[in-house]
Amino acid sequence: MKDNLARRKNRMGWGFFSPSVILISVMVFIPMIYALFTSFMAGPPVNMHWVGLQNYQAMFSDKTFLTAASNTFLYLIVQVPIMLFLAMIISVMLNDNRLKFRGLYRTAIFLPCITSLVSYSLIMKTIFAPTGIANKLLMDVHLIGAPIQWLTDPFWAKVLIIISITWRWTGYNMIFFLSGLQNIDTEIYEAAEIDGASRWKQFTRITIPMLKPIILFTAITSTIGTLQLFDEVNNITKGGPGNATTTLSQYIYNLSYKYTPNFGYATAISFVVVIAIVVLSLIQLKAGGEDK
Amino acid sequence: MIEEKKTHNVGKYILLTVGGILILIPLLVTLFSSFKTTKDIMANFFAWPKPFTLDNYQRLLADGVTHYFLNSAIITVVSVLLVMLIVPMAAYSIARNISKKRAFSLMYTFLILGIFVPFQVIMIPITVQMSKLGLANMYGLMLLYLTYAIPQTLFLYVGYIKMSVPVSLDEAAEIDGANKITTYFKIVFPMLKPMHATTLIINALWFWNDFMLPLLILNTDNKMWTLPLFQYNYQSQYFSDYGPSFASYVVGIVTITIVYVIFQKNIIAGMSNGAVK
Repeated sequence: MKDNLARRKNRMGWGFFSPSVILISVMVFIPMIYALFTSFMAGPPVNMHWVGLQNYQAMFSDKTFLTAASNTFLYLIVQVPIMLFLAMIISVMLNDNRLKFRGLYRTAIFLPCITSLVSYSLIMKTIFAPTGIANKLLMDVHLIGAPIQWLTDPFWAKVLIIISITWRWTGYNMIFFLSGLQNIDTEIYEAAEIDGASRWKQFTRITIPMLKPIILFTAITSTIGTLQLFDEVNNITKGGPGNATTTLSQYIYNLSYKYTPNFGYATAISFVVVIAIVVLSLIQLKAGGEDK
Repeated sequence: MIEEKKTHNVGKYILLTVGGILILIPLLVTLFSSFKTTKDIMANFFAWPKPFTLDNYQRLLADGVTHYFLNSAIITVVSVLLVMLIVPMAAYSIARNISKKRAFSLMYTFLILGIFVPFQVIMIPITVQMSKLGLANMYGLMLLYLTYAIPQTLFLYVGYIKMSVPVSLDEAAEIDGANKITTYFKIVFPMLKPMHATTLIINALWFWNDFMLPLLILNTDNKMWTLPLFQYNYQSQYFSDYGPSFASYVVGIVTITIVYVIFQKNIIAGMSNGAVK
């Protein structure tokens, strides 16, 4: 009798999540296995043949691939920490109950990631044109003597991409921090205040540890997002000047749809991205000490 | 002490306001441009619309934007509802069983792994597969959105249930004679409100603005186009005629902003409505 009940409960548990498992299997893992086979093949899409590891070996001597890979990692190392730190600081500022117009500020900071990609890239290009508003502002406060060539200088083009991604995605990450901050009991802060802890101490000793799961989550999703970076680069700089701002994702896209289609090589590179994502996420999980 | 707090707050307001304005400039430019003639846009990109014109919006309506708007709205609403039906349920069962049964933690890992798959990997095979299954249409797109939303959404729900929905609630309901389904729908589901709001916003935002999947799945038939596909083709159709394009961006942005403003309150308010503190 009891056994029966336990089994029925168990079956219910399986029923609750089997739709998800079926969907993920059919629409993620089956295509992925298919793609894995493709990465060992070469030739035009209708007539591909097996070439073993040739696609994977070719990458090491492919200059465009190496540039794209180093650009992608540069964006990752520089942009993700800046963005997450900003998102955390802003959400702590906004989490204050006494602050007026909270909803207004929250909406303003979140708005960029609502914006359609096409309009956002057009606007960024206009603002950062040689005679654009950004240069004018910087020259008026005498930070620079001559206009910066944001779109044609290899260094500043990368800076522009980093500014653009930060503009668009900080508010998005802020949402996760805000919902995490809701979970922290205000009594902890009150107790800390009575014990004489400064605001900075409260931030480093209470807020950051309590937000650890959220920091981990946003760090991993931002890492993945950056490794797949395509939209900004493709629309603002088109990867240029030369290949100065191009990313792995853009190169994959170009190999599939822009150049003579080379699905095998493109898929092989995409699997390198998968490996990078898995390795980096595991490192972050280890460093974050997620032991549950 | 009080004095110090006040100056501290003034600094905070200034910082937030300046930051907010910096962030809003590009959006204001979009809004202004939608009320200008293309000639005025070219003359001065950042100026206030003078003379103010509704021509761009009239042309947008004449070009049938309503149809594409509705397509996008239907796809977004149905996909979001599907996610809310399927994912919290799975999260509940996983959160409750993961420490007791190995099979559940294995399945959880399997589902979460989806986060690590870059879309470029499956882009080509999934397009072929969907058209073979006869799902290169709106229904197929909804299924794809549901599937690709699972890993991230599930991760968020499982963490939330573990932290904020005590097992004692389930047990109390069971003693009262409720079965798992009743417990879930009557007690657990309503308690997940802050998480519902969070996932609703992030998923709706993605479905509404997404460009890549509709391009791959729906581009064959322009009757099925979503708003971003329409915007994209519209932009190339009126190559250097920016006005109507800016109007179409404003339509998209305003709609999703309204959704955000409505639901963001729940992210914050939901917590204090919890049954147990």
